[in-house]
Amino acid sequence: MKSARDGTGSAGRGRQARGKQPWRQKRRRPPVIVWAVVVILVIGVGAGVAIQRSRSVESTGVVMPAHALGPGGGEVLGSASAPVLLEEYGDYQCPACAALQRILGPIVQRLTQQGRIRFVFHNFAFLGPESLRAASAATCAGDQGKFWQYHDLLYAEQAAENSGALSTDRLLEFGRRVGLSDERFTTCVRDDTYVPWVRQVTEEASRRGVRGTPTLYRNGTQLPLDQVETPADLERVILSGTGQPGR
Amino acid sequence: MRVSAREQGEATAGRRIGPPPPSPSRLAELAPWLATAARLLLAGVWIWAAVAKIVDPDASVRAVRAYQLLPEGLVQLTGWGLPFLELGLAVLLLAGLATRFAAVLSALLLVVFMVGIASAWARGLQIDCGCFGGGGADPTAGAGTYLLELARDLGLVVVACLLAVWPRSRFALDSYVLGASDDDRAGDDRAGDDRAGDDRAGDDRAGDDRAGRDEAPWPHHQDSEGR
Repeated sequence: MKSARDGTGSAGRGRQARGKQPWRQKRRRPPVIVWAVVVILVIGVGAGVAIQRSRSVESTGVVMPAHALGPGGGEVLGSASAPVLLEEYGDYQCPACAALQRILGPIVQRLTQQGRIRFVFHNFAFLGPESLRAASAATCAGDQGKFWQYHDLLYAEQAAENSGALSTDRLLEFGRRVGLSDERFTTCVRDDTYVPWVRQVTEEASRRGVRGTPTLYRNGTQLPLDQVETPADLERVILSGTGQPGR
Repeated sequence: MRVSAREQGEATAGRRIGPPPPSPSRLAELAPWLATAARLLLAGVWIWAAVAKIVDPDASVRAVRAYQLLPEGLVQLTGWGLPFLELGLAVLLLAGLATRFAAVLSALLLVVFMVGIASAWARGLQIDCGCFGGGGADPTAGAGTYLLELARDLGLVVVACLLAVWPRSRFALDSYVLGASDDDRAGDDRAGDDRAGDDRAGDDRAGDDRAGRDEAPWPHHQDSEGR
């Protein structure tokens, strides 16, 4: 910095000697181009916001699923009178969700049948277009009472993220495997009927505080999954809300 | 500064320091090319960052929300608008238009990002910075991740600051556009007089620490900085 200042000092004299005035005049005010650029940037960002808003869920026509949904627009298992409400936010392309499903699936099945918990699955389809399409297809299956079968199949047959694995043909094939091959299901899958709705519930989940998947809520409180190592841990956390005891 | 003194016709006799090969005059020749490289680097980063966010506006909004810094009303605005600001900067840098302004704005934006990342880290959040798309929870995020992101951004800030101080570069519209950043033009106009360019750099730095000057502060400098 010091040398810079020194340089300025000596250079200042030199400049004075050879026409300092025009220079100073020029530098008095910021160049017109900067102002022009600022204006264009502001307009550009404004236009960008408008474009993105028009692409956002709020502006797309949302078709609500035809079947009944539970709290927060999730698919429900179990009795409303169960003392524990367990909610899962999942993405069908998320490997950790598929891994959790292998442990959580049987536990949920047992505990809901015993009336000890009520389970709700929410879409948090944040991993890309194939997540949205798969979630939409599962909801199409739900319209005919086959949501859980389809949901389980999607997790069981999970492939690499956005690899093209969840094509329309594949989604229809999954439908056939759970006994859905009628026009209603086919059209629903082909049209991505529930994609806008899935985007909407994903946005709502984000506002609720969901940042990734899988995320579990127990009676409205996020469960810490990082301490869960065994199925027994998971069951304890689900029933008591903590994973600490006995560890 | 040494570079300037070395120019022919000026005080040649004064300083002949260092080994001959990377002679100061060659450095002076190289400087505009380095500035062009800096422009391209920053433009590349901005384009990458912008496009990754523009393709998925929902994800962009979620990434901003994950920082838990802005009120909900601003979260959406930021998620949607920020990538276009980044894109605008990329275009300016690519074109070499209002280079100093674009460099200063780039540095400021990067500093804002660094504050956001540091704050997320300090609050114990485990999030993906969402710098190039993505965003949201990242259970693997730790000191290493955050430090790496901060170091990367700091490096880019340094590049942007250097470009702000020496914005004169090759293949820049600033050299052709009437009324473009005057100093940039001046530099190119006086091809044989690199001294002018270097003096300016000195001026700016002096302006930065605002010391030792009895003249009024440089309005131009203030403008490009204060925006």
